[in-house]
Amino acid sequence: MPNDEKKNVLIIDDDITIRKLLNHHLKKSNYTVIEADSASQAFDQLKSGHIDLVLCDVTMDVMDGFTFCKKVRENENYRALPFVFVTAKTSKEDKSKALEAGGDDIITKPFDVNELLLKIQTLIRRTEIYKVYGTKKGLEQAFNQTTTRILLVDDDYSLAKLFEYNLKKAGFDCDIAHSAEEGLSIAKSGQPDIIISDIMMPQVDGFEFRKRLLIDEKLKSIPFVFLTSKSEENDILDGYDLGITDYVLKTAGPRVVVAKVSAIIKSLGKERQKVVSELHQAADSLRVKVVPDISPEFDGFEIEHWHVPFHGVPGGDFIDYFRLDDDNIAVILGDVMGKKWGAWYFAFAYAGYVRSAIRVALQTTKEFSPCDILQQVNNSVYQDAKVSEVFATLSIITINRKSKVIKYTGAGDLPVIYYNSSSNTVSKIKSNGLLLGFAEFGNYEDTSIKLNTGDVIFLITDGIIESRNQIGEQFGSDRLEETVKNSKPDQKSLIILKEVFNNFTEGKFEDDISIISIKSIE
Amino acid sequence: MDFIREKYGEVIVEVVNLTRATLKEAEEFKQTLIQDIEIGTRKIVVDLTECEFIDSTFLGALVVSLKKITNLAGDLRLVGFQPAVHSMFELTRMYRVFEAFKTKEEAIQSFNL
Repeated sequence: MPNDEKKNVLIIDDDITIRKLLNHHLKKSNYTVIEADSASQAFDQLKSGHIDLVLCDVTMDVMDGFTFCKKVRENENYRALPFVFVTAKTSKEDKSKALEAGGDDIITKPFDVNELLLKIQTLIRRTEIYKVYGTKKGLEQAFNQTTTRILLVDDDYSLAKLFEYNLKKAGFDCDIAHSAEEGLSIAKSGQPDIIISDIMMPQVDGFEFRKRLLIDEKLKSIPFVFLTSKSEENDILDGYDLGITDYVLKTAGPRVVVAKVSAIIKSLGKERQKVVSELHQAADSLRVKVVPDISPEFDGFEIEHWHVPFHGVPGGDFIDYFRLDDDNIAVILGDVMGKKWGAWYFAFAYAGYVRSAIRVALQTTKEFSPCDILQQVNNSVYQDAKVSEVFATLSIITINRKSKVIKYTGAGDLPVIYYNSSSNTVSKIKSNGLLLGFAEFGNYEDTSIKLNTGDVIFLITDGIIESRNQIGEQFGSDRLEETVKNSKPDQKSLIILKEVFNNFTEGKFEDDISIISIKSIE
Repeated sequence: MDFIREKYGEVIVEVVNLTRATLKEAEEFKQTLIQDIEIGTRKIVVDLTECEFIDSTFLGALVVSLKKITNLAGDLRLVGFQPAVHSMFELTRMYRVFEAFKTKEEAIQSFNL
């Protein structure tokens, strides 16, 4: 790490031996260490300089670590400061106390130095990611800014007022119309997200109103709910014939109406579409990147990637390159499962998290062994409760420029495709590891291949082979292999593949598309 | 209905009534399974007989639920792999963590041993 990237760690412990011990190990790993022997001294240190992470003892005189942590978290500036307890207490109760107080992690004495360093590095990296990409909450707020607009049509003034009051209280925008005609003109001018209408109205009744909406291209697909005082079955069946979304009995009261409306809004694909369009804005404004703009220059090899995010939303797939030293480089391709679970920002943050964990592991790896890196990353993901419900596939390749040997290991990933130029054959190299974060030991192993000039290795995620053409046929791995085989040796590896793939799918992809090619050249 | 819930004693069978089970349905399916687990179910069979294809997101929903239920000393078992689904499980090595059966009856029976 260059000097300007040195991180400041504050150690709080009333035991000087522990402080010295931690200090020694941290300094060796290139951290700047600041010591405090009490909570009050620690407060002063926090105020006087920039601290990147706190390591804090629990049992201390005057103020214990838990109380200290709570106080620290009260300050807006320290909400996101990584805070780790170092303690001999190992009971469940102590652990939950530590988390309640606002701690990010606990390390129990006697501690394993490597584990401690790994945890520190991961936490610091994660904070950096949040700084760049914004916190989950910040993003959520950005998404919630648009409120749902409801059009309520009822000729009963007082009832309309009552519902309007309750809907607004629940956070919806609400327009009121007292007749179907009025309702129609408001709907045309404003495109509400949902329309609620009374059935029994003078002149034009609710059924007629619905029919008029249905002949308007722009309005017919807006979810429609009947509000009725009649519970006769025929009435309601009439309503369903008109493609209504739901009906509510007036007698059920405003709260039920609000609950139904909320449920409908949530279930609507429209809401999702909205989120997607807002994601574009959010992504643009955050300038988020899960894929580098350009692939690295690495003598003796031609490394290229092609990435198209699904609907332009970044998140699921990620690519990273990491130069290990002058002769070695690591190439990483990952796919977070569950990108479309309505929690894009989480999948996205997770991709960033995994990337950072990889980078941490890469800094400490000695043999440049991908399986070693992968197991380290898996450890930190597996142990982190915050990400325990997300899984990712990961392919890691390290390349040695001098020996031309690549080492590959994978976690739940698709096999890499290996094009042997001298025999003009294509084969798959399968890895054996489990999905990242699923089990404590992922069974990761390295496979080594020596590349000759003209040989190409492809890393892919499932988007490519699972994409379908107009008649529902999958692109499939056979077609991919065939395309690879037919590429001319002097061409850039990805050009033909892009062309064939675009022609096949007619440019309509169903998932993130990611592929990395590594070609051995003179 | 995309997911049909059947009950055989303590075993809940969730039949996935989709030919293509993908990211579109994954969230709802995940919620369905999590709900089953939250109400106390510890023996779940997911019937994939209808599925010609499942994508990684849908698989992810299964994996999340499996992790959750195994932490609670339960299990989630699978039944009815069509070829593409089978290869999906093989490719991602997930056949190693899911117990799979040929028929629904076998899967239910396996819980009662």
